[in-house]
Amino acid sequence: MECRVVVSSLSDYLDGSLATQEIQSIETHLAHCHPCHTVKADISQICLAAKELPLRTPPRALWARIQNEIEFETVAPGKREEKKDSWWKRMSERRFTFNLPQLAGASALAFSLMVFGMYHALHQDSTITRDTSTSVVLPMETEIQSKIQQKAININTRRQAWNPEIRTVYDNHLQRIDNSLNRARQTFVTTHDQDQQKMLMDLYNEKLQLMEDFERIEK
Amino acid sequence: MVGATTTNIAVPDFDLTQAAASGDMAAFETLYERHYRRVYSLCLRMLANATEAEDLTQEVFVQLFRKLGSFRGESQFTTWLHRLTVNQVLMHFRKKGVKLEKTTEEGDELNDIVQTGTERPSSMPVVDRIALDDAIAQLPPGYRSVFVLHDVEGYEHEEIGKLLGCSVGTSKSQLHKARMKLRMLLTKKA
Repeated sequence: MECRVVVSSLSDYLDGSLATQEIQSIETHLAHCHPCHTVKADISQICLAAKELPLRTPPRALWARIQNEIEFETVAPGKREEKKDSWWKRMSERRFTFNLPQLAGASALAFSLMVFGMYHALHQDSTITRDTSTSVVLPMETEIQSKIQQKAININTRRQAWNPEIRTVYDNHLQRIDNSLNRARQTFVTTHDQDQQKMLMDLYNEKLQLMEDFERIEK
Repeated sequence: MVGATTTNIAVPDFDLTQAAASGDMAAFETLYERHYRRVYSLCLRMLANATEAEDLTQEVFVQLFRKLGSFRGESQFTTWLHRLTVNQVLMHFRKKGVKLEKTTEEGDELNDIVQTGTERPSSMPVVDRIALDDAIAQLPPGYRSVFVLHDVEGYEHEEIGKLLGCSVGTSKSQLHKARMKLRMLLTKKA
């Protein structure tokens, strides 16, 4: 019997699925062929080790994730709909209508942004540094910022138990709001327009709303 | 009431499934505690990716909760759960477009591996479990699936053929290739 044939039959031989005659031929070959005998010994060892592989343990948070998903599914259908109408759905279904003063305000904002951009571009060499400590702070701003901070602490303790997809959705939405907030905050330093104030507060409220929506996921 | 009794280790799996099917989360948690490591280990070894294995384990237990009512106890609960797990993993492979190798028993690759086997007469070092787990993770998905199902989980070729949608011959052939490839990987590492 050739080595090639013996080696290709070794798994069947070790699993006991060969006929008696084939077994005898292989054993005769193995008795005097050291390389084939070595291969057989190695495969036997792999098979034995595979049977003794230890069980692996997932992170403890996995049960919390499973429980969350099951609880979410088992909520009464009406409530589930209500829960599914989260921040993103409400945002995507929202229809925006603007009146004339709002449009005028938006145009003024766009214009001031353009002027600011041009000014910035023309004075790149001069070392303009924005000192946030001198920024104008709105009366309601400190209060809403502290609420947001509190929510952020709550969310950070709960987010470990979220599904990775939920974490990604939350992070992406938060990132978008934060970017808008930063932009709005920067322009607010230069002008004190009421529309800008409203826009800034709306963004803070959107952020708070997003956190409240995602905070409920754990409940 | 049911929850208080179902946490007892002596309660059979079937009774726990019945209690969990009627909404007893404590019973379901006991089932989870009994079986999660086996389910996770199977997912991890078949997928070779810890994050995907966690997600799949989650999916398996959510599916299990949904299907508990249909478990009649005709087979062992562990058998039923493992089949559910394997099916979830295979579905995951299909979704990801992972092709399970379906070479014939006379495939060229086998010859290469066999050649390597006979050309390396030196014996492989004693296999430690970590090294074997690492080597399993390096196998192509098809070989890995058959090896894990047969040699780790103890499935027969007939069952593997049904699960993977291949013949018994293909299952045997892939198992042999997987073992030979593992030998090659473990010898290289030494």
